Amino acid sequence: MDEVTGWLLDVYAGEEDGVVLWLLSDDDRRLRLRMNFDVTFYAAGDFGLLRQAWTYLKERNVKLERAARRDLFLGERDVLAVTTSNPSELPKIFADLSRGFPSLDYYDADIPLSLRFIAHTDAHLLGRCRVKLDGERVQSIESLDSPWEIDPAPIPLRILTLSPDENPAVRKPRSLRVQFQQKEYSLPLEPTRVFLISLKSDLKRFDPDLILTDYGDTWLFPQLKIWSQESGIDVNPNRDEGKRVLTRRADSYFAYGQVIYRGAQTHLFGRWHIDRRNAMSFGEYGLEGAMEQARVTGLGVQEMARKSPGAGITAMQMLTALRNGIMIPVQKQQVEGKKTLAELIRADHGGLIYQPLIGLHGDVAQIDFSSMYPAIMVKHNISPETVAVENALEGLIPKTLRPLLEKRLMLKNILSDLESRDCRVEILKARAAALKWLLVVCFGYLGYKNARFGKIESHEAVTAMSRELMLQAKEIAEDMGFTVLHMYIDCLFVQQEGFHRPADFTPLLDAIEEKTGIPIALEGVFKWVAFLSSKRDARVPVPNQYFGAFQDGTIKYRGIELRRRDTTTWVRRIQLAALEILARADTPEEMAEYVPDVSALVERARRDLRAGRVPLEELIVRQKLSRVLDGYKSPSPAARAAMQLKTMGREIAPGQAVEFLFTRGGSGVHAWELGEALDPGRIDTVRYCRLLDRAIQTVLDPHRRSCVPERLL
Amino acid sequence: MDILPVLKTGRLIVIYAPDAACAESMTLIAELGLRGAVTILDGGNLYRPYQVATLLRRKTVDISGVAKRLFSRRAFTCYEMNTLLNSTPSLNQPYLILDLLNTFYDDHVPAYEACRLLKSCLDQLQRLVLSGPVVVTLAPPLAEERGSLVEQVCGQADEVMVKEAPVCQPTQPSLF
Amino acid sequence: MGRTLITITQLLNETEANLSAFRRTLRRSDQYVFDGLLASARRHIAAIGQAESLLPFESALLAMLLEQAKEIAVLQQELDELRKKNSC
Repeated sequence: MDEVTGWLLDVYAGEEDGVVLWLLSDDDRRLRLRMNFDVTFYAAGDFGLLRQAWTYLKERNVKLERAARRDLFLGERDVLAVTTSNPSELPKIFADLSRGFPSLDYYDADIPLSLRFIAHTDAHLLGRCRVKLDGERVQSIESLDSPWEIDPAPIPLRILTLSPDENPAVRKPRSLRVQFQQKEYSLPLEPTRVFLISLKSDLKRFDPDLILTDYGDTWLFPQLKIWSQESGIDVNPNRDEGKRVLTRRADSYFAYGQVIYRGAQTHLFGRWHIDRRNAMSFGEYGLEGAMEQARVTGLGVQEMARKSPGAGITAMQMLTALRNGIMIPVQKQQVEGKKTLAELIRADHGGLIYQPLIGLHGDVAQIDFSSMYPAIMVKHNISPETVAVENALEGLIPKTLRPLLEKRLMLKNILSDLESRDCRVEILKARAAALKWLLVVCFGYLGYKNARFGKIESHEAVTAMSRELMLQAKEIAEDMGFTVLHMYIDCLFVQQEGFHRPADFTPLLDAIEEKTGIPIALEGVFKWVAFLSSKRDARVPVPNQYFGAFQDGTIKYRGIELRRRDTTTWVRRIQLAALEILARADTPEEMAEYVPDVSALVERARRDLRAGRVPLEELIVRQKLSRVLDGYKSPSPAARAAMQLKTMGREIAPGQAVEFLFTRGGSGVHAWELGEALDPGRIDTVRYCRLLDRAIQTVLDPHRRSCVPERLL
Repeated sequence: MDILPVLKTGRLIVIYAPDAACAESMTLIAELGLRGAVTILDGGNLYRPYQVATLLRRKTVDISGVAKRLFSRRAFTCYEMNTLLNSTPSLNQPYLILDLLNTFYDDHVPAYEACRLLKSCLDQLQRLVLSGPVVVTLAPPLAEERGSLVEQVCGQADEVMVKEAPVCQPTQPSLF
Repeated sequence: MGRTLITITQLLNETEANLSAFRRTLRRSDQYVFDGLLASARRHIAAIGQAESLLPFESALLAMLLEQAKEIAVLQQELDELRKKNSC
């Protein structure tokens, strides 16, 4: 019997039975292995119906058993256990059964296979493991590390990068740039046959573990399929040659309060494909982050790169449930309890938002509770099944979050000890950011309607606790003589005469941490910070809109034009330059000295615009289409640009962004993807100057106002 | 739309309106609250607690007393609506189901599933109506193919009240 | 999951909209003062929310009074300082 050690790259259902594993062995081989793997789902409910379901399934190739299994809320339930040795058959068996018996409760019927595998074997994706083999059959698998490893052994991945020379949505690409290790060259797309043969041989020669593309989901792989069919040259980008690529269609859906568009997807077997242009959070933390998420969530890298962190946190909860013998319902069954009018008013609040004191302030410390909501859930054992239960054992959610929280804190501690030039910093930062996103969404999933283990009361318990802790922090700060300038959900801005060094604030941090039991950290001390007022009424403060300069000169800003995606690059560039000028001021009083420099900067920018010296790319406005084009009564600029694109046959779906320029005359916009050259003389300079003036007003207003004493009435 | 006079045990009243009769429902909740306990099941995030409190304040100084007998629960999916109705006990008090079908219009739920769950919900409404008056409000479906759900609910009702959308906004007559 | 309860910000906006006819009829100079009253309520949105009152506008009125009292205290202090200066 052979024994091999290496990294686990991928797990998926085999065609006939069991699962297929891909192992990157220590001697640099890529092994396709097979393993017997039974999967089970459960049905519960009326016994008469269960007996009928049993009869219905008897003829199928499944094992049926009566069993007692645990439901998180209801406790032990008598269930019908349906087991198959062919995981690829399970979705169909379940679909048939649930159609025939829709009123039964189903459990464990739609769990990603990788999660079942991890729960069963303890080996995790991208983790090190040792397998004992009989031919290509795995006899046993043993995990050699844990996903919570702070410094996991790096996987020697072979990465092939493919990107077209043009954005295919705008212009037809002519070539494909190929990059592998030190090699880099261009493959012409025509003649098609030559291109396909070259690409096929490159895939064979390089045998990459990861194909990283631009527009691979939306263009390259769909196009490859068409070209293959037309030319009769079959290019299968999978490493597993018995499989075809898995494609998912594009869709628009509503989440996080906005319409989100997700492009079509192409997933590969035996190797991964990530389209950098269609990966939700890839820009934020890159491949290293996606791999970290795959490691801890148990979802494949291809899934994690494209899905929201919410899917990741759901997977982690499922894994905890599987490991603890708790069944995972297909439909959430928990509903809200009865509340009186007064109770509803008490419960249905968000986090604490304290309106800021408008204007410029010097020597201000920003202190943040670290991962406040998850920390509350862990410390106070808040979980759907533990809410309002006294002395409950550690709940499913805290159990899931605890290691995640600890790992992120540890990464942050390591990072704070490293020099910023250290080569490990970037990787650790990406991994900490990836974990942070999982922690950020875990709270929302407590009350989310489609969460498997959600209950609105647990969601409310967390916000109630967060408000209480913020008030405690405020009281401590005030007892110690600080003025609280602003509080926002989990951070406070405090100030006290004579306090300006980071160490001056340590006693405050210690006192808050001791009282609340939640870690709190100093984000930094601002030389000056400006809290903004409403554009409509200068007497009304706006929460979480500020900009300021830390003592080391770093600028921080929230809620201003620079942060908004629909602001043009040009306006952003000038606003940032203006802030950089102001950041030279060491005190609010010194700012006046730098205002003339800002005015000169703006004057120059205006002149450049009028003289046509600003590249058109910098003037592109990006706005999302909020509905289908027919749904607009008076079309927004984005809708007007989308209509222009429609006339040339390009459809924009709700949630998708449209890029355009503001122009004089006609519809007032010019869709960027129209591809036609635009006469720079047609740019609506007045409109762009107005956008710039607004952005500059934002950064200069606090200074102007500080020159006049504030009066409310 | 005067609903109070037609309310009595054994009667299922359906109000169909473009906004699922939000304003009328809040007035009705306040009026019923003044008389006794009320159960509110909200399927469309339609309940407006502050509005109800303000309406109550016009009629009584003891709004906290009334607020204690207005009981509400919310459903965010049609499965939850079904569970809510199933777990609502039969009591001798009025029941208001706000925007019953809102979650059934979700196109992520297959039509056959929506239909099955609605049937179960309607059975529960028939149970509840034996112990107290039941008012159900409905809004039009987002897509026409779910229109049959509205018909199913209306088919069970003892009375259907329809509030049309205003055809045109009232305009100020010109003076000259 | 959408919240059922409107936020205090939304509630104040609604109240302001309901009072638009009242505001419109005021003199321009009074309108500015009236807006100031609402602005002073908006500075205490967190406190109004935390009061968990069935009628949050009552707390909003209290917030307006609070800002007025603050204003009076500031003026009082300035007056005292002026008096002190003059008596020296």
